[in-house]
Amino acid sequence: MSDRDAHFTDYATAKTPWLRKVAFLLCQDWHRADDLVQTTLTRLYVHWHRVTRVESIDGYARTILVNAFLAEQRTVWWKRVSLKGESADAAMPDLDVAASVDLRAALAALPPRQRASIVLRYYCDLSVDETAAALHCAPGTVKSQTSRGLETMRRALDPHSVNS
Amino acid sequence: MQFDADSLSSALGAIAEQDAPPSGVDADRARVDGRRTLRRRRTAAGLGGTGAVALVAALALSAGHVFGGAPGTGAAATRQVVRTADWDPLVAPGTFGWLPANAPNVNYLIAPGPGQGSQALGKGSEVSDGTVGHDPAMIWLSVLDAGQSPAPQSGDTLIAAPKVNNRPAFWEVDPAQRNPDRGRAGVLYFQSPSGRWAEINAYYLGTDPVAQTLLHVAKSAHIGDTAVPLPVRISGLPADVIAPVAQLTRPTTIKGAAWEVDLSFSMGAENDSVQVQVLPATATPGANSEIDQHCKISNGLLICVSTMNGRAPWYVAGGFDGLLRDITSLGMDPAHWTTDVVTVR
Repeated sequence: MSDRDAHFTDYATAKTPWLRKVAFLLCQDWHRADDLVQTTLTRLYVHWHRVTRVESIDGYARTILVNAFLAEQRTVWWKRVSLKGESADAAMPDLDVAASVDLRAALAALPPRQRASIVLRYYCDLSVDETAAALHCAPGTVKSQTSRGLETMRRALDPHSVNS
Repeated sequence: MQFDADSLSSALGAIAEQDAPPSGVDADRARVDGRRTLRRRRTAAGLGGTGAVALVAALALSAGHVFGGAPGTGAAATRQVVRTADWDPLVAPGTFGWLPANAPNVNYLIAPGPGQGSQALGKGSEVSDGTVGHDPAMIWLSVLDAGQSPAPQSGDTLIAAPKVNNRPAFWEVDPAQRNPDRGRAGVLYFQSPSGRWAEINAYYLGTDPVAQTLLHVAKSAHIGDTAVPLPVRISGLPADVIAPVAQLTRPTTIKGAAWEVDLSFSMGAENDSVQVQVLPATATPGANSEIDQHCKISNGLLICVSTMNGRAPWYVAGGFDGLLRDITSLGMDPAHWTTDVVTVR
């Protein structure tokens, strides 16, 4: 194995769990998440020569992942897949099952760019500028997308709390 | 659940930490697939010509890079193209003729994506406040690269469909079902008179038979690069600027805006791009109040320009104000819109 391949394999192996989590939050389906990460790693390999010039390999990989997610919303191939039957997701966390289900549903209901903005800002802890770079949009767009997403989630989740 | 934005980070973390099934990600397969892609790109670069250009463009797109020009212009991804005539950043691969009543809105988009140059989309209405209240009908029309044949997604298969305008066509179906109707959805490939294959990919259709609807859409569609008229004329950009993103969206998720045009121009570094957004001036004031944009209202249109870093790119003469001055509003009437959108200086 060449040095290039060895370095890539080391990186891919180490970062796959993290990339899967980000992908899962974006698409809400572990199998789709795996497909997104597989696509991300393939593209990362193709452009591995560029990683020496990027400030952060993680940021570069995350950008590829988010772009792959947003692009597939346009190609909508995943909806073909979903038409064949939904996959069974794994068990929910111990913390608060109902709250987690509600949050997942609220997140899943967001348009893709709003969802990506929320995930990058609040899970990946990126700044507005970093999120804008990942989404290839203006910082102001990130602010508005995040604001709209949070408001939509708030509307979706608050009524439930009244009844619970 | 009480929604608390402050605790959102930890809540998302908890979701992401939930027990996941074993990973299906394979780094070795990524290396093999990546090497194959590199080989194909080198081969394509050596071949030259439109097919090779299309392949290179697709690869550049898949990595989120900018690419040169619109489909059909012969622009290469790896080099700048110097324009000699006014041009349209939004060139659709085809246009719809008939569309079902629940998908009356025609959208066009060129945007980064794996192997997709441009698409036309017939779309139903959706809630206009940014939320998704129901699933709007969607009928995507795209054209395969020259020489490319229909290829079903993994697990699917192709079966013969009735000919479309006396040319062959195929349904993409689940092999177990072999039914073009995939639950208000369907995929139809059909060959155009030029020999290029087109794909219609539809979801959330109405109650009419899916096969009949898709065949009707296919028979009335025009396949071939079609410049989409836009409501602005832009001068002052260099002749070798490129447009990686161009969209005409309707309806929009912006209140008071029946349509929206988004254009992105770029030169050099992938982050060195400038976005141009055009909306009806009736768009709700404050909808973009948090966006750090430079805007003007002219002839009934709200025209805004922005960049990721808030600074005008080096290739925009006169900065944001200069660019805004160089954008001419053609008004709300589509009859006055133009395909000579970018004026070569």
